Amino acid sequence: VRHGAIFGFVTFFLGWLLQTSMLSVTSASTPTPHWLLLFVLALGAGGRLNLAQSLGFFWGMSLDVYGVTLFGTQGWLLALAGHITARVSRQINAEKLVTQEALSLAGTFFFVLGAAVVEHIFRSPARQSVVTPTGFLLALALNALAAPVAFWLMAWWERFWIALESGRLKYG
Amino acid sequence: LFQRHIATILFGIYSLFCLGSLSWSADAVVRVLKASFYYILSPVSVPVMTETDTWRGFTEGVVRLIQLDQEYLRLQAAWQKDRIDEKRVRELETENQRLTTLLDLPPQPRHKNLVCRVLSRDANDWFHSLLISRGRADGVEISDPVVAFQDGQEVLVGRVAEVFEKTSRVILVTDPLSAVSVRSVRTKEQGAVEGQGTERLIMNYLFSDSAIAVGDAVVTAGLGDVFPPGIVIGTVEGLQSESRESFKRAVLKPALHINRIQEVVVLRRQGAA
Repeated sequence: VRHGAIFGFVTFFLGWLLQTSMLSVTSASTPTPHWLLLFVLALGAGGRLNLAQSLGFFWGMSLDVYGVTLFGTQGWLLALAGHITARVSRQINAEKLVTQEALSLAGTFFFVLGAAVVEHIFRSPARQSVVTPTGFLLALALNALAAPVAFWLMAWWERFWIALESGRLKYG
Repeated sequence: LFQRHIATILFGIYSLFCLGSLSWSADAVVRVLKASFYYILSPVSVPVMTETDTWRGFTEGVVRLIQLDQEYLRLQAAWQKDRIDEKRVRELETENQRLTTLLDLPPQPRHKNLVCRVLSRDANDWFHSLLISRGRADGVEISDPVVAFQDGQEVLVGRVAEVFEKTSRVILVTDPLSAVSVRSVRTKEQGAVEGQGTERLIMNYLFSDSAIAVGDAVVTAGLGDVFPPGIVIGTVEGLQSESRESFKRAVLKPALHINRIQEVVVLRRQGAA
């Protein structure tokens, strides 16, 4: 990717559009996969350290603005997820399904755990939200199911962008 | 050195920013930052949310249409069943008339419904009477029973006490002057319900060995030629008995919600003017 900043900017809005659409279509109580976390993991696993952590930071902050988490919670956790995944990207093969699933499960586990820890430290006990075991398992399952789609989507989007830059579009 | 460690430096900046936001979440600066994020994102988020709301409204409309169709089928089935029931009721009515004639019994009075609005209730006379929108001109007569439909059942309101040209005054079942012959639905025991001028009624003349119990439903007995049988009065809330008295009394909670009453039905005896 030659125009990294533009690519990052467009990816940010497209990802945000997808997540907002998903959250708007389903009701607030319906669980949906955390697409932005999966995209960050996909970018990180592809070795794009700066892009993964930056998009993670901005997507996370946006989610904090529109969601119920404290401003900075998801921003920091998604940036961290992008940073760590990119650091270990040389030791893993992100094209393998098992890797994608493992990353999704580990990412979701640490994301939920991290959010609970941040909540515990920075929010008054009376206002803290509680993560139920069912909700936790549901988040793991949904993200695991959506992980191959998110990884494929991100890989396809990168290929599409590169083709766009070089003036030859290839779909698929 | 900066180029080599740019990713780490960037991550450090992000982390500091987030930790700062978390630590001073109530601070004005953090709130301005948050508002700025919202402002930047709203051109993307708000149209998406509006569009998806429209789409969701459409899908909800489709679901409602399916539900209405199912309800229509259910109502159609219920209507057909009601028609069969109506036919059976007519047959039973004919049979009843034939048997009544055969046994030489006087026929049960038949009533015509006359729906009226409640015009007024006197604040000083709250549990005693009310004024309704039908009078002599509509054929209302003194002692006509008055009922209301509440919670899906016919409940007794009282009886007409005064008739004017276009209005009538109804004496409520809760008035101390009101007395209605009643029976318990479960035990079939009869008694007389009297008003107390409060929101409770008293059922008198129950024998001391009466089996009536708390929760029993009480309806009109149809004696006395004023009230038709089977109109709901209330439920037994408590029992009172004194050793020196041979009768027991039951405290009733009226089925009628007086404060919700808007329309009533005067039961006009059929054949009356």
